[in-house]
Amino acid sequence: MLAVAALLAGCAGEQRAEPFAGYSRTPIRTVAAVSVPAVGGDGDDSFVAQPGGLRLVYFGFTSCPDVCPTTLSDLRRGLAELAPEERSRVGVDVVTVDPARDQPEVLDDYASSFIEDATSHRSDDPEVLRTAVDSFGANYRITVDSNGDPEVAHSGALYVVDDAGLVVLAWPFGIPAASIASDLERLLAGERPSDLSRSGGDHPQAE
Amino acid sequence: MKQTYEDRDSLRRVIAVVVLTSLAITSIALVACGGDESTSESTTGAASGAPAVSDPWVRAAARGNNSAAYMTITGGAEADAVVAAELPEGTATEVQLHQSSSTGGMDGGEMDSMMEMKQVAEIPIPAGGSVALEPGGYHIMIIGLTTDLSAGQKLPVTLTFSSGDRSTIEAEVRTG
Repeated sequence: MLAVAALLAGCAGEQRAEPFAGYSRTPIRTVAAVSVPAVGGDGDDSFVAQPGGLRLVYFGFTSCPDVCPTTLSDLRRGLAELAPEERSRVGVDVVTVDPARDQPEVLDDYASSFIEDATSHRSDDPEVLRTAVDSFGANYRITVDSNGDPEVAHSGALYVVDDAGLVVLAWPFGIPAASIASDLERLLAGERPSDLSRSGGDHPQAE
Repeated sequence: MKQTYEDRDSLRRVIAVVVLTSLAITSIALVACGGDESTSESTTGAASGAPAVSDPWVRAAARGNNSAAYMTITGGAEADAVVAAELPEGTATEVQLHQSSSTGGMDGGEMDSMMEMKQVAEIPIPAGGSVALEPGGYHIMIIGLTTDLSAGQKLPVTLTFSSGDRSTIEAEVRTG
């Protein structure tokens, strides 16, 4: 464990002067007012983190064999690099963009197969889903192919939300686990991407 | 950059060994931070003349779910293509060739890009070159697993090439 810690410190040290591996938006988005029902009823419908914490939000679907498992597996490995105290401040939320096929139990099993304590979210109301997706700056599209099978396109990004409901960072598809871990450590320590510091501590409204 | 699929335990083992032998810390840092190449055993095409396959692996998934198989395929002097992939009877409902790609929007712009996935008729292997089946790109999509795929298991994957050659390789199941 000492070796791992030393190693992480080494990585963080290298990147300290560097930008975050993820990207941020100006103006910053807020999702403080956004909610999609949590499956199972014991979770939080919203995406606002606990004080001092972060929520990591992913829009995906369970029949996704390539893109979603890649990102959720890398996220699991990234989270495993965190110290227990840091990990305890991070929540993971998986929102299905394919509620017609993703019934609640299926969705919950899928999400927790990657991240045991993940909260899954699902709404049959397309407006609820579209509002949430838009607020994050994400996107999705479901079409039907020539065989009549649904084809789902969706943003492959992972979104980081802070305790004020601000989307402080997003990681694109393909982000390595080590980058997730080092960005999270800096965010949990209170650091923010430099282009967000101009926004100050207020809660700017999204479009 | 390629992603690493080594599991954490093996990474820990690597680190432990390196620390014990008091090698330079920088070399470990490179392995951990860079995540460049995941090396594992290579399996070569069985049929002579068939393209060579290296680092084949399948993502672990539970029965009822979908999964995907990945590998690097290196062709011979002439262009070739994978036209079909098969798994042993009783593994999955269907196996298809697929390609994921990025579409629409721009990350960090008004709206982020989307990843989409389409079935393809073939996966081209360039003459004298190779094609990577990897997350976010070409892959063998395994639809409706009828059995659990657990990490460490070996799964035979049979590829059919446009030349008509067939080759069966043993892919390792990984948590990915």
